[in-house]
Formats: sequence, C-alpha cells, structure tokens
Amino acid sequence: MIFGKPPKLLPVGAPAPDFEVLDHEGRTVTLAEQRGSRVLLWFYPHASTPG
Amino acid sequence: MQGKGLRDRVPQLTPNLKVFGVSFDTMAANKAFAEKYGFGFPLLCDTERTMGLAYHAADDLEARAPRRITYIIDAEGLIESAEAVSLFGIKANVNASIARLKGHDT
Repeated sequence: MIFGKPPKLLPVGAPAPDFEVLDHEGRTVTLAEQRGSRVLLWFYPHASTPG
Repeated sequence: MQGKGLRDRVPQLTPNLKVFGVSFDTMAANKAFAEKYGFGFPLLCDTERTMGLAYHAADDLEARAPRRITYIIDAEGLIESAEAVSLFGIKANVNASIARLKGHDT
C-alpha cells in the first residue's frame, strides 16, 4: 500500500467511531468519555518512529 | 517530527483539547516511546487494530502499522478534520492541524 492510492478517510461531519483501548500506562480510554472536549487523534506508524 | 511537534505545541492549544497518539504497538513499546520523548499525552495501544480499521488508518487486521493520519473530533463526537500525509508532508500535516485549531479558538 506504500505506493497505493491515498486512503479514503472518514468524512468531515461524520460521527467518529467510538473506541475502547488501553493507553501506554494501562488505562482504559474511550472516545465516549471525551465528549465535551475536542480530541486530536494522531496515528503514527511505530513507537520507534523518530519523535 | 510530528510527535515532538505535538508535544511542544499542545500546551499552547486550547485546554479543551485532548490529544492521543495511536499505534499498533505494545504498551511496553509505547511506554518507552513516551518516556523517551516526554509526550504529555497518552499513547493508545491499538494492538487489535480496531481503531486503525475504524478510522481508515489500516486496510486489514494484518496491517503492520497505521498510516500517518491526524483526525480532529469536535466536542459532540463528529469528525472536524481528517488529514493523511505522505512521508514528505508530515510536518506540514501537523502544522496545518494546529493552525486550524488556533483559528478555531480565536
């Protein structure tokens, strides 16, 4: 997929899919509990990525 | 440079913004990454790739890593912006996101 067509992203205005996942400290994080705050999700390839 | 850029600039952003990094890495790998760079925000360990699939950062469960994508979600839970970048556009991507945030708040 490296040279494939650009990914089709979620459209602006669409409901953001809820999630429930552990963070790096082992805390459970859900999108639902962030309601009332704006959220920035930064997807990155690997934890070894140069910062 | 995206992660460090976020780390350094997030404090200037609105307090009503929560930042999360997302990768498919283990908790241990992300913990080391967070400590190395002093990220002030949580790194989510999407080892099952459910977030990656839901947010179109990966095409299938076999994906080794998510694509570099930045989403902003508004306070009601709707997608406010979505940006994907090539390897050459990483810095522009996060700068554009931050510029949009600043514009939103002023």
